[in-house]
Amino acid sequence: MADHPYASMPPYASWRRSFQDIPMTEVDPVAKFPMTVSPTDKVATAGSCFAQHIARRLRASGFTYFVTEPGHPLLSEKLRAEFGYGVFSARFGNIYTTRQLRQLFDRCYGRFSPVEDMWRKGARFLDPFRPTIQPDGFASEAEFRADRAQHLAAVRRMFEELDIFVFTLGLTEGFVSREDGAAFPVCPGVAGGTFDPERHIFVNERAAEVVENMSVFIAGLRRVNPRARVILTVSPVPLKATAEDRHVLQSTVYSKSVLRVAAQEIADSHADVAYFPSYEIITGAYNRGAYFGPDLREVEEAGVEHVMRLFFRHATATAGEAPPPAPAPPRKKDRSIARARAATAVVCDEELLDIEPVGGAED
Amino acid sequence: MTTMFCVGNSHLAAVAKGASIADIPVLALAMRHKLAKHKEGELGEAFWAKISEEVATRKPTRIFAFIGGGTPAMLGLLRHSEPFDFVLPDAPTLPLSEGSTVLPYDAVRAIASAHMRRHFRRLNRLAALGVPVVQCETPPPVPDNGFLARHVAQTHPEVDVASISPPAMRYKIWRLHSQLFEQFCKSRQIGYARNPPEVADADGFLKQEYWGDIVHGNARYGAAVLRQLKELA
Repeated sequence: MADHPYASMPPYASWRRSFQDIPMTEVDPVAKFPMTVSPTDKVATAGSCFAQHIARRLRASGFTYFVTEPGHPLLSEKLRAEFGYGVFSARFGNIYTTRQLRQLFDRCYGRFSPVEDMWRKGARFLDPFRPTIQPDGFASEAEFRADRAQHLAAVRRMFEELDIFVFTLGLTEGFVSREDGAAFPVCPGVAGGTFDPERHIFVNERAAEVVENMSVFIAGLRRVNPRARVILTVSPVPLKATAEDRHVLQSTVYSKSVLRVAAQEIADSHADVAYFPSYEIITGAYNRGAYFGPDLREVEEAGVEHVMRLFFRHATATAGEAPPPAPAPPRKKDRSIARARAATAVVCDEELLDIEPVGGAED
Repeated sequence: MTTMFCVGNSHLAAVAKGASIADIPVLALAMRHKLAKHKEGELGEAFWAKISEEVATRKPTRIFAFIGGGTPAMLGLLRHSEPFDFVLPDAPTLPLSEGSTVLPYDAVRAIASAHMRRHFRRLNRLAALGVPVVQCETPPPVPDNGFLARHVAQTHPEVDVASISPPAMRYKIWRLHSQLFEQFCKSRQIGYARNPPEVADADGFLKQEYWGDIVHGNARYGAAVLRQLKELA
């Protein structure tokens, strides 16, 4: 038998042995993962749309999905979803670019205050850095300011107390302020604000910029939370549109390639940072596009299932199955409303004692 | 003198008690009794049949409604275990309670609206009787947390002054409640009568001479309301 480096490589290093005669759902491109998430680790998530799937699955699993802005108990599940509570670990909406993440961290610690920090929409007020977080924006500037302060405090707490930060890199394209480089998640004018070429400029990050943004962010995170570990993923969701003058498929491949390269460089050069290949699981040719929906963008549930099964197999001490959901953490039992109802009922009944009821005296 | 045809829940009582002070005759029809018993928050058909009969017999020119009013107390009288507050858009400088979670105004509004839905249904039913209806605002909140705590402690001894929500927060919920009623009435061509200006202090709270219990005005308050409504009757 010939002696060369490939001869001693494990099966997963061989394309043929990784895919031949292996059912699609059993393909496992993770191979090995250098980190173990325990059920008691506080796992926080942020990033692009695909991160929402990870967040949803973690929440439903027996793991500790760490949320510092869960929404007040008075709010129904429906209201919480409408107002962006619990979608991610804090109420920041989608964070598509590493520049956004780096700036969010700096804003939390007072190191960056964007000049363009509020948009008006008729009588309402929008947060340029999470413009769709509420259905119609904020009802007053005072509410907007109070909520933002509360939000940034919640994000600070998330950074300082998390054990694992799962970040899904989504895009390299984006619009920023010419004045101070503030990165908007959505181009001004789309969900709010007004696009002004004098004030806004399109940027398309290169791999080195992504690496730098993430490195600066990780250094900052470690300063406030030395035990923090980071898991990076790349969103497999193609660009909805490109601002480059070229085909959207070319821009998608460029963007995802940059993010994939950057993720590897970051993982290779930082301790306690790992790359999890959800991108490969969803986009790999082995599944012949089966994990994309009819629009070729949305990720099918089966794809998310495949990703999470491998996540639980390789990144946790479970055998590929999520542990049964833990019972919901006990909320402080609140009796204020029941007490108020009871106290009010007493006085209301007393008030009406002297009034002739409709239809005559009571039984 | 025209008799004021009044229908409603417990806030109706202040008006009934104030009739003699204001020297204005009142017919007060309370939404209680076996005919008015709730079935999933609705009043029975027998109740509405009786109200229709009264309207047909007495032929009022207006019906004054004192429907609802429990929402502000329910949501805001006692401090929640996770205290919350919100910014009222038309009074954004009112203070936020220290240590409370700020909820979106729209979310609080949605919660209050959901709570008031059955009151809106009742107003609709009343308006369908064919006589102009005027819904009357509930009294503003009492500013004195000590007074409220003593009152509630009579039935809930564990409640003390620290259990009562800050006055500004209670005021905001009351005002939101009034705004929701007023907007609903406007959308249905139902009249809406705000409180007589003299019952509120400079900060909008109920003046002490009009306090009844934790949520209701007294007979003097009822008389002030009646004197104002008389102009509309």
